[in-house]
Amino acid sequence: MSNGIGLLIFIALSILMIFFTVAQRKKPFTLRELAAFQRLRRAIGLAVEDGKGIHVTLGRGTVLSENLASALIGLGVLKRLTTVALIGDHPPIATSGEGSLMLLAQDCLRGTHRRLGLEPQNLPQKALLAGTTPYAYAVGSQMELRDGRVAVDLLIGHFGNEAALICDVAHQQGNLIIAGSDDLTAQSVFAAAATHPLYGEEVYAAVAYMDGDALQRASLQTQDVARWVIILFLIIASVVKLVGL
Amino acid sequence: MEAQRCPMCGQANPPHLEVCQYCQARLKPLWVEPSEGSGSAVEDGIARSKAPLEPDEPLVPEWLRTDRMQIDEGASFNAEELGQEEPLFPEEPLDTDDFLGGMFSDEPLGDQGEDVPEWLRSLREDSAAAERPLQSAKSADQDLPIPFWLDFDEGAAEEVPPQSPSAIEKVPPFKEQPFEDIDIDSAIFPSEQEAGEKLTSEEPRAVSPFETFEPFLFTEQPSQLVEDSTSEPEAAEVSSKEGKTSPPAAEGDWMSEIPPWLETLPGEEWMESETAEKEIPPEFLQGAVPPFVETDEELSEIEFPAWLDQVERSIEPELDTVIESLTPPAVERLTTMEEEKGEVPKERPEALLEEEDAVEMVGPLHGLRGVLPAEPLVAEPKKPSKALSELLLTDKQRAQAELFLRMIEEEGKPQPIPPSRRAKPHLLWRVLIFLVLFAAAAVGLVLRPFSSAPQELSVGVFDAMQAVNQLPAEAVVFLVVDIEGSDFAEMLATTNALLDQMMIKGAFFVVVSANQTGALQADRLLREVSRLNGHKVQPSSGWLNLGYLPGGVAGMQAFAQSLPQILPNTVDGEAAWQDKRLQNIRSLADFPLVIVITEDSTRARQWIEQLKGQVSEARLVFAVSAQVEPVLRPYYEANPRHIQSVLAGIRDGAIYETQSARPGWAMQLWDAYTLTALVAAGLIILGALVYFLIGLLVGRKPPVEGKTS
Amino acid sequence: MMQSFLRSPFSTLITFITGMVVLLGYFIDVDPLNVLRSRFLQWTVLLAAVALMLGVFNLMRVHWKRLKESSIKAIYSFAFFGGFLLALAVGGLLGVQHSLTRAVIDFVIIPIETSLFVVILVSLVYALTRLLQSRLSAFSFVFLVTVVFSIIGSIPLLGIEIPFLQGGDGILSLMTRVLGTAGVRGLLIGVALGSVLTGIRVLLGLDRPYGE
Repeated sequence: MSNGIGLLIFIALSILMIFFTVAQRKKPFTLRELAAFQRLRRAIGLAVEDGKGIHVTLGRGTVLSENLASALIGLGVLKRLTTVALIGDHPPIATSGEGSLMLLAQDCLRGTHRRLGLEPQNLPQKALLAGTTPYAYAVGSQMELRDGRVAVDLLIGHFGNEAALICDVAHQQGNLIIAGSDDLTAQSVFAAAATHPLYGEEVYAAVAYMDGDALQRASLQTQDVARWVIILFLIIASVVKLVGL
Repeated sequence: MEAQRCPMCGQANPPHLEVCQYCQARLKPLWVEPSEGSGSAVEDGIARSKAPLEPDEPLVPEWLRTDRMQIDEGASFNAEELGQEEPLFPEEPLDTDDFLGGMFSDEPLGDQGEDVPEWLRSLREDSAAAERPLQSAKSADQDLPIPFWLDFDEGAAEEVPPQSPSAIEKVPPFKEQPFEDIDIDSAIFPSEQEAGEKLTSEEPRAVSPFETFEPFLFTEQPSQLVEDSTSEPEAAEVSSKEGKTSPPAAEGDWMSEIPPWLETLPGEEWMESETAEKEIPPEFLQGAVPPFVETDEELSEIEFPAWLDQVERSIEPELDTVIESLTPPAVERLTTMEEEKGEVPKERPEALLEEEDAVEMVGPLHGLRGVLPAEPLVAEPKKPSKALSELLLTDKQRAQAELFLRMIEEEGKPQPIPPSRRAKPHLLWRVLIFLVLFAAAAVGLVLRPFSSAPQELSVGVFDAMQAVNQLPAEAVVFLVVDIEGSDFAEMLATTNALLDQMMIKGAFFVVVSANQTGALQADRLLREVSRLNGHKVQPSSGWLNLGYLPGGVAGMQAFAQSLPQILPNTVDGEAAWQDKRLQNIRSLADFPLVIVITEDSTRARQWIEQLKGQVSEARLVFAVSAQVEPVLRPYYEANPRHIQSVLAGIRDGAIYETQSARPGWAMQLWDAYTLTALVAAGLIILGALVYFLIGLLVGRKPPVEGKTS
Repeated sequence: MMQSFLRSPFSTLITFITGMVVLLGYFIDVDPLNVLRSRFLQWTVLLAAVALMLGVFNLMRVHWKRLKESSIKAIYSFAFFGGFLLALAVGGLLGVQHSLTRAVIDFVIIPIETSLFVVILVSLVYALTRLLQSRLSAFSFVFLVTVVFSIIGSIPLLGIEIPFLQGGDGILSLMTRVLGTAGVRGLLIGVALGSVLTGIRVLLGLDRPYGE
């Protein structure tokens, strides 16, 4: 029974997203303002002008778990940022805490370079595995921040409380910190330590806010519709249970 | 009628005069060679220059006669002797060695056997003295502008007539730059030593009287006469020779006198465009600039704008000083004399006095008396003064120009990256936080000031105790240990009572971990629990460590479905499932109790989702860090439950120990934990208030954006 | 050849087929599908292990380059290689149960990670104290109050539990359990929705965050 519902939800969400993608291409809707991405756009421009770098911390989500979804968002952000940052000849540095994620990050950087007709330089140092355990990863990521060549630090992916170590060093360096995660512990850490924390599903909207692609916007729209459906379902179910039906 | 220009002083004279009214030089030559071609001035000039002339021609000096003989022998000249050099002027074999031979020769000019007239030889003494300021200005001479007709390229070489053999012998082959190997300064302006040698060697230098650099700036010249001279054959001849023998004195002068034959040379287009640009102002400047005028009368009728008058007034005093500094010595003397109310100078140069009475012996002025010496005063071969290329600027303009230049230079320089304005880390405050927390923990751990225990019974603890109590003796318990070293102390306190109770019942643990160091932490955890509670459980007898389970969620799922296939061996390499205590275990459902110990909320959630359906909810207990409790509570409080129990943090561990009447590690930490947490809450309140007030007092700053702000 | 193949629609097709097999195998209990799904998962586990090894090699390569560059980071790289060789020798050769391995864990790994945890504690307290200055908003204020109440609600106040305020039935516990749990559920639903939609985009080949 539950398996069937799950499959039904999957199919319904797929159809909704495709429908909204077509609708978005005809008439795009306006995204609500998120201060984090407004600030990010400005900060990226200033960082490129200053010759500063951008550090994308992809977390330690594995390919084999559902927390890869937030890491995929981080990769999407990395891809867009690389396109912009290559104007200033400073491609972002991407650190990851998992081997497969590192390979994906390298693939992302390589692909973006080639799309722009460039050959990536020092790819192993631009997309590297900072550590295999959470704290080793945090300390390894700190090393990329300490030399002062980074102006913007994006933490998008799966983290634990070790994210506080990264945010702390980024704060000491005076970086702009935009952080979002699928992990609740990490979200609570970001709420205190990040310049602009992304709560809940806001992290999944990052690419849509950076890209404006119809698919990404349609994904957001589908997400909103599904959330309202769930809210209505919860209210109706609670009322039904309260009434005793 | 058109004016004619004096070949000596360059001044324009009325056409009827035969002698220059300024310098008394003869304007019309005594002997005119009959023209072979047309009557045009250009053809006449060319014909004159290329005429072989008779050997017995009385006016031709010996050196010229020799060169002409070589030209006659030029029929046997083989151009291949030049190597890569192509003949210059192949179609019009001009006799150019009179100046090229001198310019391109490595030999001193005085050694070339030139015929120097007597009057010029006597003037050498003065010219040697005049060489000194020239030598001082030698560095500026390096920038001698090469006229366009000398700046020919390879493509134009075909149009250049061949040189005489003498010139070919003396001229080094051109490389990339036409005059790369030539010291023009030393060739044209010999050094003082060379000049002295010439004087002592009694070999007069053959200097053309037209090889002059007029001090053009300091003479008044009617502008309407500039173009007229080209129509006169003599003037054309003069100008053509002048163009070949000496660099132009000023741009407006020599360019206006370009003979037609020079128009065929490269650079014609440039010249025309340059001229066109000068004559026709652009549209946007029309009305803004004064119209072009020809006479002084027209000039006086023009109303200049006010700003121009201001500029003129502002630069007048400076202009005077600049002119003073730039005036040659002779002109300076004349200016001084004029300032002395027109008095005749008492002391005139002796050379001048002598030369006024001297008789010209050679050249076109042969036989004339009292000819003004051209060389020392007027015809001294020297470049235009440096001041010609300088602008007259006011102090303000100069300051602005310097500022502009400085800005341009600074733009080109690599600027050091300014030190970034880092956010103040407030190190003192951080150290204070650490010291206070450390002191609280130390006091709580050592002094144990409260000696209290949690009074209430947590529901989670109660359910966990029930699950343990229902275990049979020597049961096999599946233990998932996903903890990091940093959380070990908390997890030890949380699980101490739970594991202790199971060890009392002789449970055997099968341990697996889904993180890299989890297997090591699991081994240590069981050893510590055994040591703290006085058990003698050993790794082989008390637990079996299956090690690291790779693959994340997929690994968990695969492991939950088929244990022996995924992890067949222990961390020591032994066959895990051959143990007699595991003979009846083939899946997770065969374990009477499954305990997941983790400090990671995501990992806890993953285990719940992957163990669902494989393990009965009544047999699934979670011992987690306090930070994970909010995530697991929905699963625990759901109806029906997804898990049997949740032990969260030191508090639940202490409650368990209290309820089981076996105070252990959690109870030892309890006072330290409560005191530290209380102090931390106090620090947060205090610090937040202080920073909030500081923010209000100092004024709110924008959120920290870092270096990019 | 290989690159063009990877860029071709075949790669998208392979992604779609494998993803759908695993997904449908989870929802539909059919033996051939389950077998195929298990086989794919085993391959994935193996590939993940290989990826981890590649990641370690990458880490070594980066640190080796830094060591050769003799930069200021070289000392960290030197420490990395020292620790790596020590862990490889002790854990790999002697085994997990060996006393030397236990000593490395007890006296090196645990103290280092515990000290890092203390750094996290200090950093979080520091960040919380500056929260109202750096980001003054109603949310920050509520967040700060919630943190303080959660801490105080979980411990007795100087050894004394205040009735109706602390304890299992106290206001603070209720606030933590009810409000906290509700908030967590809402956040988790949002995260789950985002994860599902991201997965659908990749699975259907509509989005490819990696590659070109």
